[in-house]
Amino acid sequence: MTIPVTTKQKELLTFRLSDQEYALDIMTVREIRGWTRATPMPLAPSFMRGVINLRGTVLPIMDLAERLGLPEADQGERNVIVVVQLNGSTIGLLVNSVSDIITRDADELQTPPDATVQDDRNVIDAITLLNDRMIRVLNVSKVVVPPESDAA
Amino acid sequence: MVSPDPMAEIRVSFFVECEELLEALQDGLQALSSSTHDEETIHVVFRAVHSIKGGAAAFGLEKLVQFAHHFETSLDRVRTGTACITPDLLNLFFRATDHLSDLVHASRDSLDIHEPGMLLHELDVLACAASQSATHDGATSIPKEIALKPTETDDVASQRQKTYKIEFRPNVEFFEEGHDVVDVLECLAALGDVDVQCDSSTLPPLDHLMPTQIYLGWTFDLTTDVDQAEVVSTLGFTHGLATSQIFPHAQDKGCLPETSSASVGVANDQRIPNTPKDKTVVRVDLDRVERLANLVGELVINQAMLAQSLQISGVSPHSDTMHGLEEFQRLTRDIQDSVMMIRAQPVKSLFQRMARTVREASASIDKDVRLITVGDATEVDKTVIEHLVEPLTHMVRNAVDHGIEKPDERRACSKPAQGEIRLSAAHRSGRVQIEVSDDGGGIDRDKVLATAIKNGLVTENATLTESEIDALLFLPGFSTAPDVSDLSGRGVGMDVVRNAIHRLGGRINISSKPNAGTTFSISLPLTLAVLDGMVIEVADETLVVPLNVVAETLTLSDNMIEQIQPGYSVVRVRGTFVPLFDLGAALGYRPLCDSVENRIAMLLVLEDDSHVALLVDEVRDQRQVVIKGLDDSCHRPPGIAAATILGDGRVALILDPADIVANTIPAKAIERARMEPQA
Repeated sequence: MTIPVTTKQKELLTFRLSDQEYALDIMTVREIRGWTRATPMPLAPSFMRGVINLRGTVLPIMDLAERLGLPEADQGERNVIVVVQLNGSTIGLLVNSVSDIITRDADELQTPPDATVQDDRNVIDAITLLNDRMIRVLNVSKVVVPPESDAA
Repeated sequence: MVSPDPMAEIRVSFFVECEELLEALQDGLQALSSSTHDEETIHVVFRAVHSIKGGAAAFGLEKLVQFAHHFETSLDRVRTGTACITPDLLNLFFRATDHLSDLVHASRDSLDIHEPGMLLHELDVLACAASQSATHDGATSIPKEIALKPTETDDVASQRQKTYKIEFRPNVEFFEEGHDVVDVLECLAALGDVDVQCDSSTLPPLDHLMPTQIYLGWTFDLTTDVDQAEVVSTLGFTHGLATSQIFPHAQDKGCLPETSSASVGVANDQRIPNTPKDKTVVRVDLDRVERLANLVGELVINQAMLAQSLQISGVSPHSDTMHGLEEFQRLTRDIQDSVMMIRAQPVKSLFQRMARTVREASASIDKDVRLITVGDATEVDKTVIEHLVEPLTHMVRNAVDHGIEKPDERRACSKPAQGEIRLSAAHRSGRVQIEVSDDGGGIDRDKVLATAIKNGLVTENATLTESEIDALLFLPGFSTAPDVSDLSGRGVGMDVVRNAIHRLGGRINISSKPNAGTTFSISLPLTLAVLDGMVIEVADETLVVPLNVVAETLTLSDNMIEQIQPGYSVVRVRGTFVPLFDLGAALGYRPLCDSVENRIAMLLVLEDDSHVALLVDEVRDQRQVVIKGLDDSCHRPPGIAAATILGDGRVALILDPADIVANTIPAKAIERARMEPQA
């Protein structure tokens, strides 16, 4: 669970999820778009909000707060979808609001304390500080787990 | 996948080229085995093999070069006129082509392949033998095979009166297409003097006579000053409809018959042009076509959105805007059709593969079978063709193995010893219809039923209709072949074929007549990119049901419904009980409904002929939708096949009714409903 040392600096997109601040690697972000109503996917886990039309392709939407087990924040006007691309598949992450883009050196990113790094459910790669507020850097590929691969 | 080899790209294009050359080779050989060839044909065949050899040498593909060299050498003997084309020789060439194609594929995928062994030897020997026998007959008796270059003797000979013996045996199709033997006679009489003899030797006794079978053949002795090629072309209209052999007169003995219907390869109802058409072709990356198709899909959606928003904004339907929009709609549809046509390919390549399957299958079990293909030029989406290879191969093998009887059995039923498998493709009302039929013994229904009872698929005293018995063949693990042969009957049955067809959105049906043969007809959508669907609404969600399963819609009332157990009800439709299920609840949109009064049910007929009723809130309309795949990260549940984008820009899910039923209703309930007597 280390941050690659080869990349000296990392650009991170920070966003809010029910009063907590998170960040993810900007290189995975394709675009940010406003909230539109998603078509619910039947029998999907509750954190899957459904699918939307992204310029002709069908994009699945994941409610990130719900996925991380955070209390549900009210669906405000500022809710946005962060479209990320991972291993060839694209997914939209619903967040409460996007805050900023920050640049961090590798040594400014601290590995989270061991207590939280026990199993696969750990989705935080690192933590960093911004104006004394803690920002959690998400490991997106761990957040987006494909469904049990029996859906052939 | 970056290859360090700079040749890699050229190598790829070489193998693409090989595919084209192999196709040209097949075409040429087919033309040689029918009457539609000329002297250019053999050159085309020769050049194809030569080009493969040349390319292979450049890439150091030793095995391929060696084999192509032997093949080329024997072809050269024919080309230079030192060997005659005989059915045996052609058969050998066909087999050599098959092996060459195997070699090409093995080289492409860097696989090992079995040695040609005997084939190589045969190629050398047969070509040598043919050349020797030709030289023994002396220079003057070089057969006037039209595959040969014209020689001096030909010109001199053509000045004289010549006699040809023409053996003519029409097929059933000859009469079906409205021809008459008298026409043939008249055509020949126009060329010169004709003596006619009728051959009635195969005429069976009256009680065995089948009025739709042809038992008669004719022998014409034609004295004329025209050359053989002209006689052949005069009879051109009978091509594929009759077997006719033209022998030059006895003085030209030693020459080989001109066969105008393939006894070795494939007889083709569509005439192969004498010289290959020079069509200009652009090779395009499939990804680009795919992208174009997607863009057009979006255009269609966009246009629907525009139409919808204009309607809402209250623009008069007679305004210029609306007229412009109509024009736009028409253009969009044209573009969509044209893009679909880029993806469309003739089924010819598919049928050619089947010709090989027939050759190999019939050789391995000693049956004489010929393949007739109809409608090779019918175009179908490339993906559909790719997905058809396996099911079709299976069906053709089945037809050779189970369908066609052994030669002696056939003779006992007064059928020609050579079996016939007919592959046809045609466009029919926006779908493509592919049929595989054989003229074999038909389905042995008693045996099918007995096997089904033995395997516990039906109860002992069940009475089934003929078509129900035929449908049993599609059940998993069903095989009636008494012995497992090399070809089929290894448990991979028709159920696999049916599933493959279903995945393509198609249907498959059997019809069979005892002693006359079996026909499998497959009906497929022209493309996998669009779907005819019924747009419905359930719990405020819009869904699309594939139109091909929708039988009717009913308005329900509570007294039509019987509850069998909680959560499982049936609806009575004209005396039949059909399982009813609440789509909204099945998809988890809402809890089960208490009352169905005045609600709508869609009656669906699934591919296995089971009926189900789907409780929906509203049926909106029927339209073509562009299919969008759902990838894994969408958490696609069972019952949802894909998605589409509606005119308002929203995503609607496309249902897979069979899947949703299988996952919602206990399987036994469906089974029970199917066994319910149909009123």
